[in-house]
Amino acid sequence: MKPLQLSPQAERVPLARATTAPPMELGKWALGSMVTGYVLLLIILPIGQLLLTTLEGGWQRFIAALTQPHAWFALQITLGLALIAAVINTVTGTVCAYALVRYPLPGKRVLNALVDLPFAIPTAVSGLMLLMLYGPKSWLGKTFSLYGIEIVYATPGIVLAMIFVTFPFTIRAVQPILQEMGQEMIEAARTMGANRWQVLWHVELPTILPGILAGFTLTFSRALAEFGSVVMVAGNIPFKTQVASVYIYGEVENGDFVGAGAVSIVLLLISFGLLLYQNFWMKRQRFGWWERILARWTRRKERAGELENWDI
Amino acid sequence: MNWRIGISSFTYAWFLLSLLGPIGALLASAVDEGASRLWAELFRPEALFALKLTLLITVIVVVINTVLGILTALLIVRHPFPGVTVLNTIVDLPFAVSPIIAGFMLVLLYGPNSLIGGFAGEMGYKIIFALPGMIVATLFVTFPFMVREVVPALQEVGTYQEQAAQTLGASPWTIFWKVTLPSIRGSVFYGIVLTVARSLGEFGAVLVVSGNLINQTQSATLYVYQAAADFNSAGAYALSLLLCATSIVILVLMESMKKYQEGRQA
Amino acid sequence: MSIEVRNLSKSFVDGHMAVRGVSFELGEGEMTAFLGPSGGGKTTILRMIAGLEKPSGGEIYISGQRVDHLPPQERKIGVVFQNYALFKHMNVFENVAFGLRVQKQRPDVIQARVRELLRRVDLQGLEGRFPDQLSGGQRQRVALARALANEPRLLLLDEPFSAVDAQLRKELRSWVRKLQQDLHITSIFVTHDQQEALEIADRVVVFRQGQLEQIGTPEEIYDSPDTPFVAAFVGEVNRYRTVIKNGVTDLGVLQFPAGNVPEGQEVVVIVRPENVELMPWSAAADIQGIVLATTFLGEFYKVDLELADLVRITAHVPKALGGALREQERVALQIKATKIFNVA
Repeated sequence: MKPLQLSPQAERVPLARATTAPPMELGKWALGSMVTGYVLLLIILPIGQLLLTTLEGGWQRFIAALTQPHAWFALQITLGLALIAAVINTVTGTVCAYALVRYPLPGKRVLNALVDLPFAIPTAVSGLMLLMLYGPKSWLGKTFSLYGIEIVYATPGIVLAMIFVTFPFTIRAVQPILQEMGQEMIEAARTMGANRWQVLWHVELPTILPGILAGFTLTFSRALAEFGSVVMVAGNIPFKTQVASVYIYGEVENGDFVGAGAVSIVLLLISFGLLLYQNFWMKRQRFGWWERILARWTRRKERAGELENWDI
Repeated sequence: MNWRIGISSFTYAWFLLSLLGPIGALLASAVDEGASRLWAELFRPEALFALKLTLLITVIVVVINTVLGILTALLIVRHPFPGVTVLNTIVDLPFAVSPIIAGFMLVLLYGPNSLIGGFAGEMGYKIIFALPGMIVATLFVTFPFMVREVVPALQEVGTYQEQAAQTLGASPWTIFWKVTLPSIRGSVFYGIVLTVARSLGEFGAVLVVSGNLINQTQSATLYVYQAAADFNSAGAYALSLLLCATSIVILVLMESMKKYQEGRQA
Repeated sequence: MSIEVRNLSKSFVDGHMAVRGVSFELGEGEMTAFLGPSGGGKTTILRMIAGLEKPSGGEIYISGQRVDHLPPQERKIGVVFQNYALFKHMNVFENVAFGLRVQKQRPDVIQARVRELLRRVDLQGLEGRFPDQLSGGQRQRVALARALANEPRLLLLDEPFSAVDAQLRKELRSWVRKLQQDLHITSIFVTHDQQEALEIADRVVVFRQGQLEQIGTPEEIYDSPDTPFVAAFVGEVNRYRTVIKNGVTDLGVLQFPAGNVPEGQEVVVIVRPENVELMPWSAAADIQGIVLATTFLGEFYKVDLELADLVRITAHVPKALGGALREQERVALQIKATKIFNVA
């Protein structure tokens, strides 16, 4: 190992700087502009064009397109039915997730794998399935129609379709939190003398609440947007089964882009709002508001003297 | 104990009612038609064309979105710039956009009367009501999958392995192929599976941009829709069953991936 | 391979100055310890020498070659990371072979070199294992073998022993020391454990708040610290702040000669506990004290004492003596060595 001279080596520096530093910077720039360009062409410009086309004619035209009876009805019924579907799936999904995590169900692996099936099945096929189950030719459909209940080509069909395609959301949002929570917290609460209900109410529910809310948000926004299964099951009957996405499709086919655009923008605003809420607000809040409600409730009880012997 | 029995039976009942019911109904209706009839339906030229088109779109979309999804994730995690949170949110937007609206927006931007579409038309290229439009629509709805899988994986892996490779003399190119990519390969595979599933099944967005022209722009899901509308139930069942079978294969793949990853962590 | 650092500084994007104008020179074949509390800038300096962090100012020379603008790939250094940063998707053999493969060595050369390295770090037979199938000590040796594969001119180790438990740490550090001496490779390791630094380094560099506090052999650092901080960081001390009055320290009974420190100067006086000697009490002794508490520490007793004028002092005394001391017992003291620092 020969000692090297200091001066000749030092002169190499500008060369090294010239050959190695720029390619790294160049690579970063190339990466940045490639991704930006792609996102621009694929996502941002289309949204911009939608806003431009719809709002070109001024606000009055936008409001008129929105309050047009068909459009207004479609929006209302979509919001209402999506809410019903979301409530049903949030409740059932939470119960199912609880069972899947806490109880040794026979065939648990299979059930767990089945949960994701609605994500994997094309929505048009999901619609066809529901049509086969509840349609006029099926025995279920016939039975219901004996009692005067319409399912297919009516609002119950839409709710069923929404429930089917959003089946996994709540389960998949609650499951990991329950799993991560483990038994320790529950056992700790039990050793402090809490009963089954108190454990559920004060320990388990507050812990999984973020998951339940996330599940609800995702279910609701997906149900709002659903098209394929709904159009198969419910058809396209104005003032009866014409949901917003079906309405938009019809207006696009008719070439009424402003009519389609107005409803689209309202739906997008709702979905984006929920997305932002999901991404920012809820992550920051975590257990916040439920804890506060519980704390207030506990304090009130304390004031009433019910809990006075808890004081140590 | 009652508690447990109640919740467990409810879970079974709910799975049966809302999941297995519809799937069973489709199977039963298909069986009624008879296997030979369904088999024949699969080989109708229109059906074959639709399947081939879906396959073609899926392959192209998977390639493009895998490459760009990984690049986007790399940009977000490894080279954060001011405004990276905005990009991070934009990536999620396709999840929040109804497929119908996605298709509609693409018609507005790339349609024959638009600036870009008009220019392409003059050059002799058709985007909307043609294959490119269907590809772009599918790219749109599947873009978040790869990014969402790879971003957390990159964050978890961290930069120390890459730094170690640097000090051992590896070039950025070698580091990417030999260190970064292998350490996130599980997530990349998962992202591909999700992208494939969504591409095969995409309906709304593709319906709007394709025009649903038989033997031209009719993909498999559009064929199912058309067949059901035309009361060609055998045709609808045949392709539906094929798509379902593919979904189940995909699901099994995903499950085995999960097991593989859990096994590695243990 | 010698290494020289001139006026090196680093400030991060958030404006935090991690390193402020550090200069030093380390000799060939030496094992150097970067010692200091966390946030002292020692890891940042190591990462700048490795090329993983870009200096904000200053120069770095390895064997006289200026390297601060070279990327890590071109510096020919080996780095052992704190968490080892082993390639999780490669087995032990591939981890060690990585640097050689990158250099496009012939397969038989790689084979031979990796075998030789694994033999050196005592890991024969584990070639096919993956990192998550290895113990902490084994992982560290893989990281070491990997860092040595390309025959680096400089070996850098970032807190190399912090991820293993106490018993293993002792074994590993003497083993690493021996390996370093066998290979005669210039090495730097970062640590916040003064015992580790004193035990295996030829030379210790003490950093504090991004500045070089002192550089010297372990003996120099321990016995003649340049600052009260170094004295306190490398061992236990009794520390007193006072002024010089009548040519001695104004500490009641502890009147140490001021030497050439001027009258009225504010000073810090440092006395190491092992330099406090206890003797049977005699009325004639210059310094007398009362035992407040004794604590058994294995090799010796730690004795807390109170002197006249409420001055307190801690002494380390041999077992035989310490065991016999009772609380409130009166003893005589002798201070064998002190160090006086001027307060700026």
